[in-house]
Amino acid sequence: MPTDLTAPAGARGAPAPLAVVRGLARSYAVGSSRVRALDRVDLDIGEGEVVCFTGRSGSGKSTLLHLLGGLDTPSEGTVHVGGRDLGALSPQERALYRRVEVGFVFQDFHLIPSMTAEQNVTLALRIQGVEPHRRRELARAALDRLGILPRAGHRPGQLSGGEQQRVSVARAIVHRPRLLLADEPTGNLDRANAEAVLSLLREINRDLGTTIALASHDEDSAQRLSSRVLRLRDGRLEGAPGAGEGGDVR
Amino acid sequence: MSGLSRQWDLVKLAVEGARRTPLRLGLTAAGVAIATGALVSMVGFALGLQREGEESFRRMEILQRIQVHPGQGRPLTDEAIARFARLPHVAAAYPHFRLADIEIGRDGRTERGLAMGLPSEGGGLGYLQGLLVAGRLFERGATREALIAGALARSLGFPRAQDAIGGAVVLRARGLRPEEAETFRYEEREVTVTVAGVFEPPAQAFHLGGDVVLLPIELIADLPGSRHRGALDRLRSPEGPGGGGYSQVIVVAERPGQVPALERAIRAEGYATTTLIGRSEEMKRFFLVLEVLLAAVGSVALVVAGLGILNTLIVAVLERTTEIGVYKAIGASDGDIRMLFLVESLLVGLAGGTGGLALGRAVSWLLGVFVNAYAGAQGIGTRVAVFHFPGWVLGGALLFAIVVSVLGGLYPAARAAKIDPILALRSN
Repeated sequence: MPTDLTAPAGARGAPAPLAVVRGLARSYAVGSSRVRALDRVDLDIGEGEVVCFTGRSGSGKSTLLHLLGGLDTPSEGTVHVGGRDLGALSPQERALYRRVEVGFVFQDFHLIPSMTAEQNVTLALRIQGVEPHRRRELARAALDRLGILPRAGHRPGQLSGGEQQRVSVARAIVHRPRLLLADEPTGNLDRANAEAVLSLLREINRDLGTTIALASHDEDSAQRLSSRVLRLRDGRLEGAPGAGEGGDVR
Repeated sequence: MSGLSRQWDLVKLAVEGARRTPLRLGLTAAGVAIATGALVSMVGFALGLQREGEESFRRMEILQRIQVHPGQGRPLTDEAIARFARLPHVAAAYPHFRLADIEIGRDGRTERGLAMGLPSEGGGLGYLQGLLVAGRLFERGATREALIAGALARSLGFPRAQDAIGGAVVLRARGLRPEEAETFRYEEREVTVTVAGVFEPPAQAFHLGGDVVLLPIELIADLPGSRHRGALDRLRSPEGPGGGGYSQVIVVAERPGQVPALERAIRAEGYATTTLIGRSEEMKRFFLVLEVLLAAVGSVALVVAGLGILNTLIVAVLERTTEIGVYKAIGASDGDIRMLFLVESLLVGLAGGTGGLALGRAVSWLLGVFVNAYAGAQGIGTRVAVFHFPGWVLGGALLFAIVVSVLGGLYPAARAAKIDPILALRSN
């Protein structure tokens, strides 16, 4: 049953899903035509689960993460996270949702070059309005968890790619989001650093119970990290009705 | 977490953002500073000129004076003067005597000057007190005293003003003296007077030159030539020689605001009057137009500076597109992004405006020094305050600079707020 394939691995029996996606579609206007980046996606992600979306470039992985993270709004269908219909939220409410509930990790790290590692991590807390003393404490704890505290005073240009991605992960988890969205987090890293970052994400999921949705080309790494791997092709989850074979590869 | 703390942190983030491109923003702020400085200087210049003009009017009590002329069948007699003096709020009323080409001599030196009459008691002399550089005003009832201009004192051989006090000078007056009926007698008379005081007429006092000698009315009225004008008027009067009277009487009000009512009262008696109140209103209108014109020129400069801010911030938005995407991804709202850029433009306005005020004051001070040095070289001893900066000009210019800057930041801020975070994060 396709619905089984996209249900949370836990159960498939267990806790209530954090994210519920139904009939999700996203299309964009390109010139005079429309491109459908996502098409009729149904999906549940359980609380505390690690889900990895794989697929070729343009398959809709990033679009799905953007919709889960409230950066984008659906053309059709719904995305509920924590019981909230993201498509029904105002831009202000979606900003608040991202501020409190979501953490983003990007392939290109996207650190602010003029800020130190610690300042980059505290940025998320500043946007939230956390008191300076408390945010410094939280930022240093996050950097420590990711083993990068000694480089807290360094700017991104003084850090290696792996270190920058650790800072990026620290920024994404410093406010303890319920949902961590990582878009190709190892895409710009060498093998060793990629392994290290994936291992850190696993630790975060285990220790903090953070739900993680990951987009990756690297199916091997995805399988090692994730409790569930879902393959996207042409905007549809494989295994879903009308999407051909496959789906949950685990 | 508190909303206020969050807003304050956003302001600090904007300040940090602004500090990342100090040269670019500094140059933009310098543009605002130059424009604000120009605006402040130009308006301050117009206000300075206006104040100088009005101040001299005020100091000389010119706006309190009403010149009264005989009316049809209404000669200006001593009785009429006494009536004017009894009107409410009249500080002084006295006949106007002016004796041109009087000779003033001392120790073999002879100068030609202009004698004018002033009452030796009562009001109307207040402004002279401020012009005295040595000595005092007339003593009550004095008829053989004189107040002379500083330049005249020096010409008469008194090196310093104090040296002239108590000194004797000889006045030689010639002219027609009216007699009974319709006859005049040419007369020449010599009077020795004591110098009671020396005054320095201000540059703006057109009726008090450096050759003026002021005499008590009782004395000047008795000098030949001082009343021939009145006598000629009397001959021309339909009332005939029996009408008598003075050619002009000065009525001094206690305050300028009382002049219109007094003027109406005097006119009601059938006399003609002239005052400088109307001239003063014309002057005010002229300065208002000048101020508006100069402020408009300064405002154009400030609007150009506002376009500079617009340009600078558009470049900043383009450069920081990815950063804006990151801010949005971690929870900044469109309003937060808008505020970041508006605060940045406000900072430019504040820095430029404040710098502009300082620049305007500095340039004005330098120009003032230059103008006064030049005036000094031209023999004008009185210091001229070319610029005047009341608080409302400085506050208004600063506010205007900030408003123009924030207006200049509106479009870039709106553009930044509208940036799609997904596209922004891809734009790396």
